[in-house]
Amino acid sequence: MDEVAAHIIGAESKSLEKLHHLLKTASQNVLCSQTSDNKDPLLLLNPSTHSLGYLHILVARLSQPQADHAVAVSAASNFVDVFDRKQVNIAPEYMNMFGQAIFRLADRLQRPLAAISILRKAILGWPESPAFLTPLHPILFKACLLAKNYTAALPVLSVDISEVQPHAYNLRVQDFLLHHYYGAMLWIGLKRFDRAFDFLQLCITAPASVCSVIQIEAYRKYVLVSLILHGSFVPPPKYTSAAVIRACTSSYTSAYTDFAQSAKTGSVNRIQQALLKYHEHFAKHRNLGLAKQCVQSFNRRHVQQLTQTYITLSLADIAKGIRSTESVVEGGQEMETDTALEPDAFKEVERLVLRMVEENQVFATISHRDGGMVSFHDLPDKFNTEQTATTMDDQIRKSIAISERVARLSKEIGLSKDYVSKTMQMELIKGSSDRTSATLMTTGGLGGAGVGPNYDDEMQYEFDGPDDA
Amino acid sequence: MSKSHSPKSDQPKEATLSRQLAEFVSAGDISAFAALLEDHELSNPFTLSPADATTTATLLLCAYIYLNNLDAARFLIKRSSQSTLSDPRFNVLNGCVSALWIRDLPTFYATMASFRSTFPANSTLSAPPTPDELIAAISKLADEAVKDRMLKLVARAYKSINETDAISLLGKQPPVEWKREESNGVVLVLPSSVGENGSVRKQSGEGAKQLKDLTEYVVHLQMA
Repeated sequence: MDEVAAHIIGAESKSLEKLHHLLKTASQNVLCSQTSDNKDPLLLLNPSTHSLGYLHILVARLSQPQADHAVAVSAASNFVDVFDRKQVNIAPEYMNMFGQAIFRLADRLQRPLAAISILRKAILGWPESPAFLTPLHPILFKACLLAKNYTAALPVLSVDISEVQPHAYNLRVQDFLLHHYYGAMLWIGLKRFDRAFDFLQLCITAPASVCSVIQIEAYRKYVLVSLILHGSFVPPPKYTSAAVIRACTSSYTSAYTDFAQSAKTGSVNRIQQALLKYHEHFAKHRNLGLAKQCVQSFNRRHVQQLTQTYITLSLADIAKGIRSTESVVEGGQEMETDTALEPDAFKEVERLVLRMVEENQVFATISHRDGGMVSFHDLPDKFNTEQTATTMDDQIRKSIAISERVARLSKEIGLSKDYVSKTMQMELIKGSSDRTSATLMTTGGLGGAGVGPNYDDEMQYEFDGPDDA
Repeated sequence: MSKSHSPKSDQPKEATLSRQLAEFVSAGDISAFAALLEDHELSNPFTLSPADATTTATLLLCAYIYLNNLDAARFLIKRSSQSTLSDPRFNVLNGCVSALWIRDLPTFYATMASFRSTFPANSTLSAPPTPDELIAAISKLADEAVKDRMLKLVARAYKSINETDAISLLGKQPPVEWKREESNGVVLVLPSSVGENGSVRKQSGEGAKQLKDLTEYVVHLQMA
């Protein structure tokens, strides 16, 4: 360890690659040991100036099951506050191992909260901008899910990922998929179904020649979130990989497809029957809560639809509409069967309407004097306030920033080696097919007409080539 | 935060935390109060004693009730340890959250009233305040916040309401401005509740800034 510590302290910025290779070959025992005068190297080294060496020792120490976790966690906490990004970028795989080790330690000690603060600081300090994906992102999200502290992930979760550099950050495709899958679960917990829908769509539409189990799990949630958010199943976009579509519409997700079909009928009874039928499926996949929220959202959607038809309606009529009016075709004649409403049904509907007014899902007033009548109103906001103007300004600025980012990305892709070589290949293929069709035209193969005035000159250049000097 | 349980080296830190929390309570900034407690919970996962963890969770639960953030309250309950869940004070507040979740307001008001009777709030907090003082202060604010929210909601959602329903929703006597009428029992008629949201935009007097913004938008569109 003395030798290792000496190398770390003496390493200059030009020799960090050499140091990294040296530390990679050092054994676990050496990295976890004390110095010859019985001092802890983590207390001797400066995490800011010796970040690379510190990281190697920290990873080894955190991975030891018998290690003194208090010292290691304290050192990890110091490290993420002050580490040097340039040094750490030499060993991105070790940052990944650091995140995994912290998570496993917290899990072993049954304190998942312990990993959250450290991982969050590491993510906010490591990449050059928050829009870069790192392998620490899915680890943080998993820790927040296990610790049941969803809001702790918000500083990272609320930033959209637009830069993915697999080599720079040691990323695998599973990191991308898990980031969006776990992120969607966090948004679902925070009741932001719009963001959850976006994340699940990104997971499902990731290019793939073979479908991942993560994508199948994401598709299951995608169906349910689609029902909550839009009231019906929204098929995945056209650019979704065929392999993913095939796997997701197979027997793995048949229960969810049937549930979505029952939602198409618009009958709350049918949806509830489907929920009962596939209760075990949903429970096994831990999607039962989400499926129940689908049923609740249908009741609310039904009330919202009433506002488009009626100005005033009684609580009894709303209750009948939600509860159990079903058309039955009997003997060629359609009959309506009304099941009797329980006395509490009106109170339940009143509570639902009150809840929807509270959450601004509907604008209505209830009158007990008129025997329980609900009057629906238009949106009270005239959008002529300072707040609306500020919101619009913010949205315009965001749109400008996004379009500038897209233009920059487009330019980078246009200048990249892969794109240029592929474009040149396509041009050559196109050029040779043009020559073929031109040859056919001059020899009368295609009718012989339509030769342009400069054709002979162009043909001359094509086959003779430029004159040599 | 409980001085009898923490080592002496932690006591000045706890006193600082208690003082900061008291400042936020006095200023009515409960969002900052909750944020400080969340940070305290995350930053000290190993050093927080069971008693401190329970006090932190109790204060945080009251803050979430004040802020009407019931999702966060439920997650806090789910992640709390067995020792916190079996704490009598936390258990009572757990019951309050359950009642609020299903909008069983009479149960919420009754449970909160019995909780507050065991923690009567002082008009001023000592420096630094004890955990019990902080709990008493924040639970009083939470109770009043729920009642205030329900009053605004009822005023927005009802043209007229049965007196018994009004009392059960508000947890107190309705305002005297609401007229009483005899119509299938006593019905209260509320003043007109549907109004404009926010104030109409005034001339802000920031012509130069608006011109600058517009110029930037036009330049961007031209370049695109």
